[in-house]
Amino acid sequence: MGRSIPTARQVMENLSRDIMRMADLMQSGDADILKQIIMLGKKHSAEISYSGIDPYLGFVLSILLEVCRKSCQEG
Amino acid sequence: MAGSIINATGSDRIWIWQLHGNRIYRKPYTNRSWIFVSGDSYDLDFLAKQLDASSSFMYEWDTRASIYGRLDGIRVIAYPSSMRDLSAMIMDIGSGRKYSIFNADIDPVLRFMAERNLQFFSLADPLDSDPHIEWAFIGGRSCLGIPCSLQVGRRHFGRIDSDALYEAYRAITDNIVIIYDNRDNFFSRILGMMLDSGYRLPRISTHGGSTYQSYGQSHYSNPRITMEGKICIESGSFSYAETGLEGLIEISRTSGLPIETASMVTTGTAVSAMEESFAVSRNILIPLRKDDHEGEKDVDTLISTDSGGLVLQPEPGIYTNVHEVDFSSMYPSIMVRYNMSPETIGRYGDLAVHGTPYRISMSRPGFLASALRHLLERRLFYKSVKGRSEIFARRDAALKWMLLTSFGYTGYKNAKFGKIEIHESITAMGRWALAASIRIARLHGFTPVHGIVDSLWLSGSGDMGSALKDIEAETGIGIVEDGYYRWIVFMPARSGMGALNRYMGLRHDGTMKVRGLHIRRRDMPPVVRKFQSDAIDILRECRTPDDIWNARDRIRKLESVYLSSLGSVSRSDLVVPVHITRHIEDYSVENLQRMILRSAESQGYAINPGSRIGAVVVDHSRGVVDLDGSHNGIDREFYRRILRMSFEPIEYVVNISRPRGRHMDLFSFS
Repeated sequence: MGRSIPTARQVMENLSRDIMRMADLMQSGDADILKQIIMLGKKHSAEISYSGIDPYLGFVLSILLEVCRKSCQEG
Repeated sequence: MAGSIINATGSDRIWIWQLHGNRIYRKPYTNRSWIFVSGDSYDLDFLAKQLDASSSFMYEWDTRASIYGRLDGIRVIAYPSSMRDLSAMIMDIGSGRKYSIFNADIDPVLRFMAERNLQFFSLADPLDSDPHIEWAFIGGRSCLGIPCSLQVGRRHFGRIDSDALYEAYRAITDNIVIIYDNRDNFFSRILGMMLDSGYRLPRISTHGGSTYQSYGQSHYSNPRITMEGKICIESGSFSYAETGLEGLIEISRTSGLPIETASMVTTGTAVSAMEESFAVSRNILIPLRKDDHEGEKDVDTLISTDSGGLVLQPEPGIYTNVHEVDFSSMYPSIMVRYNMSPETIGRYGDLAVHGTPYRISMSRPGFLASALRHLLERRLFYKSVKGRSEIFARRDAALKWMLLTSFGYTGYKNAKFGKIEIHESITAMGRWALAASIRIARLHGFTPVHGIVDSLWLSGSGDMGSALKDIEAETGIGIVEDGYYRWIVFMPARSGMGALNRYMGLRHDGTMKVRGLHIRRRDMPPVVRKFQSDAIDILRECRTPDDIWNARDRIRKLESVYLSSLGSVSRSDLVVPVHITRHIEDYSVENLQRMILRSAESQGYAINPGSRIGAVVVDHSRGVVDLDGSHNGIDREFYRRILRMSFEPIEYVVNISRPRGRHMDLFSFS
């Protein structure tokens, strides 16, 4: 854990909580998709933390990476 | 001095306790010592004139070594008892900033021993046993602060009568080491009862208990008892509870602290004492107040360096044929291997610290690295032989704890030889080493499944010996295979992501490793731990995921047996150990802690924050708990709820073993 500043995991957890507030106003189908997107965003927190990049950027990259992987798998 | 030194007490006069055969001889030595003052030559001349005028202290001009180099100054001769006042007086003369004072607050016993190269419980050979010392355990049980049963050694007394008190008196008079339980002031009250009954006891001193914070948690340290001529060890002390008497002896041996003191202090303080002892024995000055504060750094540097160990994100699921590899004492090894010490770290040096702007000078051995080298080598030795004997296992455990805290102490603001940049460099090198290991493991055909700071779980069928050799060659840190699992399950967190530290696995040697489950939690009643233990026993027989799936009926039957037999479970199995962290008025919700505090308060019993207390839940919705056996009945719904919670991870293991539900080697870290 960081001594003076939050870790990448903590930043992404806080971001996820904020995004989840959007789900309160969404239709249930959209909210479910949003939850899955958040999971994808947090999936590479270890690599993001190790690289030292901005966790917000890492969150988006992680989603892109997972979506690309899924689309490649599905051909 | 002949014979093993088992203890030392005193300050201006040090009493050395030596063991010859079964007898202990105590011999006094005058202990005159000194402090060292450095500063500007003009200011030192002024101080010398002041000392001449006072004529209370002898002094001489001297040059001494600090970790940063040699210092000119004045060595003032003084008894340990006067050093505090002397230091304050010198600071006043220098307006609090003109002088640097050294060697003014070292434990007098530690300094006496280190200056003469003496060691407690000295061993000619590390494989030797400890000298035999007579010891006795005195403990028992209190009901709301009143002692109600007594344990003296192996003898148990269901009530505290004259026979019980006589047995306790005999234990105290016949033994040198008294291990006592002072939860709820138990031992203090027993001693009081003995004195009231007319027994003559050695002079007793009590040092009040206190609530303290450590790593964000409240703890309560039980009042400590000392008795003249005895070595008294509180059984609740962390070091004793974790490592036993043999571990405490090892801490005393390596830290230079008397065993009684070693039992009272944290392992971090013991490491600090070891460093001070190392410095004294090598004539290196120890600052009274260190002034090597954290250096200025820009925000980018802070962000890149202020980071802990690398923890991967596992994909929850079951994995087969997984190797667990561990760096041996990773952080201390990094400190020793990469010469980390306050005087070797800076912006210039031979070695770049990965991911930071820091560099390390390797041209001469750093103080901290040298002080830890002996401890590390000793620990690695006992780790290699701990299977041979329980004594070696306990020595290993004691040294392991000391090494663990040695890293944390580098970031502690009051550590004499700590510096935050070292702390940051150690974690940076740790992250680099784990990342390098992942890369090398992949080259050898393995897939990382999970990783936590200094451990990696790898699936695959490559040549593990060769991979470990390459990792060690690249990182310079020893790495070993700690287990080879037939199967291992990484549990999900509530979010659905893999929990970082919750898993269970069966090794090929038949042993199980379980982390993060209720069985390991201290706030669960025995019935929950027993259920998970029984369930784990079933899983231990399952060599493959198919075996687990086939054992599902046995596990579900076990669950229903536990649920249906709650009414006939022994009451002691339902006691929930609760950690009280604050005063009653500070709890805003009606939780178990508040119920316990209110119940105790109504019976005139005060519970200190930080204490742990057991309670049977009688009616959770009405806030009724049983602290002393005065209630009947239990809240079955409450216990059903926590039992069901403890079923969840076991059910996850079963369900994930369902043939179509498996996640085999689908790790996302790639």
